[in-house]
Amino acid sequence: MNLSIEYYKRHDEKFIMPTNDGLCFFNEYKRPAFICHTSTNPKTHNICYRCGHKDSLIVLEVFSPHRDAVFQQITHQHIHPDGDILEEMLKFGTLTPVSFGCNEKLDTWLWKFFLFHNRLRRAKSWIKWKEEQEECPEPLDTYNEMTFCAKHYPKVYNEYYGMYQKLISGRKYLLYE
Amino acid sequence: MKYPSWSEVNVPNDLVHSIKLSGQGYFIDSLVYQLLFFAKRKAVYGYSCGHCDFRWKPERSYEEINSCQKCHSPRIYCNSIQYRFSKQVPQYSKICAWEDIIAQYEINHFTHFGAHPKENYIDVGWDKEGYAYAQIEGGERVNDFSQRVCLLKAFVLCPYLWDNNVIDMSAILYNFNE
Repeated sequence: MNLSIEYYKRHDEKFIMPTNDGLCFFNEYKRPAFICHTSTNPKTHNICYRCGHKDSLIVLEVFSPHRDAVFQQITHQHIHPDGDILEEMLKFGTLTPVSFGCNEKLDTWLWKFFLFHNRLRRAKSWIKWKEEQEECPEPLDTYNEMTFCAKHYPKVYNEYYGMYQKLISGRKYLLYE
Repeated sequence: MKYPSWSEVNVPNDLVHSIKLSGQGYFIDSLVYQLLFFAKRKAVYGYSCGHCDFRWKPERSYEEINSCQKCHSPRIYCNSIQYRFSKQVPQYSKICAWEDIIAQYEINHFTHFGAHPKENYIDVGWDKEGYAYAQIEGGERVNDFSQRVCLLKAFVLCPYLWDNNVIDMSAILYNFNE
């Protein structure tokens, strides 16, 4: 049982506790904008190999989608375990944390996060295919796009799945509704 | 008995069509594993110790590793990730193993609808052109040269099997290219 998820089910709080191997998802004006990953320092190092920080605090790293890569790292910093992740993330803009009721909503969010700046959106065959599609509700619309991408652009889909697999393993922050 | 449609279980028609056209291979097998036997793909991490070179794989993927299990050194590295299915799926490559697949399908049908399928719910045969055809009640009609592959696809292309929380659509589409 994940205690942080169980805590949030019972309390309506406006802060997010940092934990080890946690993922928190944020929207900016209803668009998937940032993924916040928290982790503890690797036990093999006395200081953080990335920034040279000596105290064993919680590492906070923020990712946003990128046009030429799957995602880019916006920041790497250390916060106290008693800190508030929501307060740290508000420095990047008007963000709202996202809660997922099921895995399908998580898949939909991650796909839109990956696709937002990806060059695939400007491919002619993609644009033509999107114009021919009828509107359908989520997550069927997302699964349609993923199927088309897996069939016609397998390398792009493999990039998405590589990102998906790395992120799904750390899911302590999935704030289920 | 009312069976759901593909749009009701959020499966794209493009994917259904691709499964019908796909040949024998890992993709069909992985669908049988996930949809019939509910075997999920899980990541298995391999760790090694930088001090005594002891290697091990923790049983739980979310287990926190702080030190080596042998020498308790904190110098540990995560060096390999493998994706396996969480359950042992019975071998169905031999003809006699079809009983396992049929039994599992009937269990799934009872779990989902609360009733057993009809007596003649499997329609199997040969077309005039030499293709084998198969259709499970409530599912798609499938044609293929090989009767074995045709039957596997027919078992997989039942919409109600896709209506569960075990399905990982991203992984299914990744297997599509393997």
